[in-house]
Amino acid sequence: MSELKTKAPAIEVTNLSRWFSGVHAVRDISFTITPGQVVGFVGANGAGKTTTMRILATLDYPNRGTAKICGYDVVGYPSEVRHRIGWMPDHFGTYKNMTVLEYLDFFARALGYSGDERVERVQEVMDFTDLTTLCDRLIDQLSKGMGQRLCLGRALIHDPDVLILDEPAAGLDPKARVELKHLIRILASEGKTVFISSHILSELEEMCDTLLFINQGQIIHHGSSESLRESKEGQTVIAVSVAGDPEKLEEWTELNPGVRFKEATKTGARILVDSAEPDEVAAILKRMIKDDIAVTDFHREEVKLEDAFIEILGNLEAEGTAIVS
Amino acid sequence: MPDDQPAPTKELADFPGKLSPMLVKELRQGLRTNMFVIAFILLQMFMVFCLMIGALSPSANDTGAFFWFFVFFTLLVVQPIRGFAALSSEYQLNTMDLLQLTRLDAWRITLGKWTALNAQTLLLVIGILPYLVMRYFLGGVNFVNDMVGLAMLGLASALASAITVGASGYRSLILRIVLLVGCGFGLMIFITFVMAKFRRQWIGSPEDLATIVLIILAAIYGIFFFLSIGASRIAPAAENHSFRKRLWAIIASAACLLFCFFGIEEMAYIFSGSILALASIDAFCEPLPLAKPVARKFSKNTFTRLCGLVLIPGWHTGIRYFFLVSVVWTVAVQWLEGDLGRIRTDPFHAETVMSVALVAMVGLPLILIQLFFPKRRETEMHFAVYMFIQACLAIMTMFISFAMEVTRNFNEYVYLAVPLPSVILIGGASGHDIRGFYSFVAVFTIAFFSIALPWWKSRDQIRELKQAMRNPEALPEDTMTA
Repeated sequence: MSELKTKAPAIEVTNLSRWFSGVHAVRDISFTITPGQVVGFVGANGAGKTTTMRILATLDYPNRGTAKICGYDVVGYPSEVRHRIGWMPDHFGTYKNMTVLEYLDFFARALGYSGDERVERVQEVMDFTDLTTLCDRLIDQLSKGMGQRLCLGRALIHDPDVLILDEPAAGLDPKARVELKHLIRILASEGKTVFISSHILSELEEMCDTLLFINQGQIIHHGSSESLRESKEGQTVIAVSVAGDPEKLEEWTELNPGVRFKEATKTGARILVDSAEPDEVAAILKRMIKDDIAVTDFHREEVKLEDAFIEILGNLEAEGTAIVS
Repeated sequence: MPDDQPAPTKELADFPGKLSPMLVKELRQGLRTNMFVIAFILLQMFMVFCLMIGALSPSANDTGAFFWFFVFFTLLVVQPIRGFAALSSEYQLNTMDLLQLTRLDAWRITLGKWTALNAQTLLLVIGILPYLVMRYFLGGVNFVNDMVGLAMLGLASALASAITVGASGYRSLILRIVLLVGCGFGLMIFITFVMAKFRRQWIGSPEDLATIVLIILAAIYGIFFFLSIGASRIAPAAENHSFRKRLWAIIASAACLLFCFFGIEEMAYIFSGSILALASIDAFCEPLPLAKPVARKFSKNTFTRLCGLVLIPGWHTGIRYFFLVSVVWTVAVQWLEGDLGRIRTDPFHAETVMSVALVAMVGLPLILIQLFFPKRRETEMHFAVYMFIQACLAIMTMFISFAMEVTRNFNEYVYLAVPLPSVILIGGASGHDIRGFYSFVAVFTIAFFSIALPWWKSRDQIRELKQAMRNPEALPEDTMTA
């Protein structure tokens, strides 16, 4: 049985649905995450991220479908699941009048650790999250970044196999974000599965192996960031700067086939060329100069993940279907 | 970290590992709060002040009043109030989810919070002890009497903090205030009664000793009951706290009735009736959600399914529980009153009328809820509506009692106030003649309708419950069953 569980996916969600008095928060979603992966869970506010994560953390229950952690059903075996997950909610979840050390000690006690084992676990977690020097500081006096490290430490106290982190980087300054990313990469290298949500794509792109996009309670993409960009293959985004009136550029794109105006910038615009061939891109530049557009800068831009995501959403609206790659 | 420095985790030895995690956490936090520190310092200052006045004044009674006032205020007001947000703060701080993922269940969380509060009260009491001893040496003080008084005050403080901690399980501030005011009022009556009874000395006769034991037992049950209320409010639907609450109420009530054999019948009836009244109020104000694990436990055979109709959480089973305990308690009181063994056949006897009046008083708001606020039955506000109606009825009763005493004409007011069984109770307790056909019919009719109406209105829910007990797997799951 235990062998079976070790071979099981870290997270396995099948046809999961959850609704609250008329509101369908999660609609029939399915996905699988293998052990050791870092998976980003992306979606707008209200897309169903937190609901899904709360179900996985045994804090809510599905109306339909199943969710398993390391082979254990979250409904049938909540205790087994709780031993295997570390849950970090999108809010701090800390106490007043309590030091960092006492906070971690409380959760170690509450999770059943005693004696030397408890002291060792607390020390290990403080070392990992670099909180040892702050151990006597009251939690109220911690910065947001330190507080988030403390919450991560709390989630790690019982050395879980799977970490479910709901918006851990929200509100953090750049330095704290970098530190958090670093910690998550270390955890991944230790073989832990990390399921992490955010609505900021760039943040997840750097630390996640795969991305899972959710929109209005439905999974619309599951794959790597590269696979998401592939859906835009055959197109080139070009940033063009011009001397003079940038509006001229918009008028020019309307008159030229194969070129589309994407968005205005301060000095020009970003345009979309329906080809990735260098010759054809060069021909566009030639045509601009020939038509008296005073081009001061013309360079190819890498496709942004946000653009790819928005395009998927646009396609979905048009087709009414979900993409799972 | 340099090797010569001790690891910070060495500091974690301040509390033994075997202590409840919740107790340790609450003590660490509680001892740092300004309220505890200020209360401790002020109490010490007042004690020194009282002692100085005692040394200068020839009459010890002057300082005694001061002394007890400060102790009373600290133990019965300051300390219990600190528990007012004990459980609700876990929701406010968004830590309840985190606690549910640990091995702590709702009962351990609630008990830990209450124990920590009382451990701090104990620290305050220990701080007072030297002054008690010094007062003895200054003279005019019965040391044993003072110690028993302090112990009883400590018990009252424990009960008061159980009330506040239990009430803090309600997330609604209004509900918490309603519960606190209602129970605080009841506790004050109880303390006034105890103080009036034992004004001169605590243990003067075997009956006094029996009364004190009964009071201690009732207070311990009260602590359990209020903490259970708090625990049941924060527990997931899959935990059945009603079973334990309802069953212990019957056991505690029966234990109180045993004190009839020690010559304190009246006290025994009051305490056993009050215990069942509290348990019934909690039972018939409970929300309905039924979880699969709860239904599964009662689905084994016909007997367990019958028990389920009385012990499964929800107001629909609560009304059946109320009916059952009302009948058994009334019969038991009749049996004990009727020379122990011969059930009294005269229904118009004062004890009979009063016992039925108690049932009617507890049940009367249910008639109004069923008639005017049926939608509130399904919500947490059911309890608030009940308490509000009961408070209105209590105010009306007070006015009528006042008029009764002023005009010294009981019967006319009783007939005017037939819908108020509490008037009959007050009348009976004040020595008025409440025997007779009309009094009995009045209270019996109200008691009958207060049970019959909700019983009738809950028939759909009971049908669904029976179905759920026959096939619990058809119910939606609740995950919080660890």
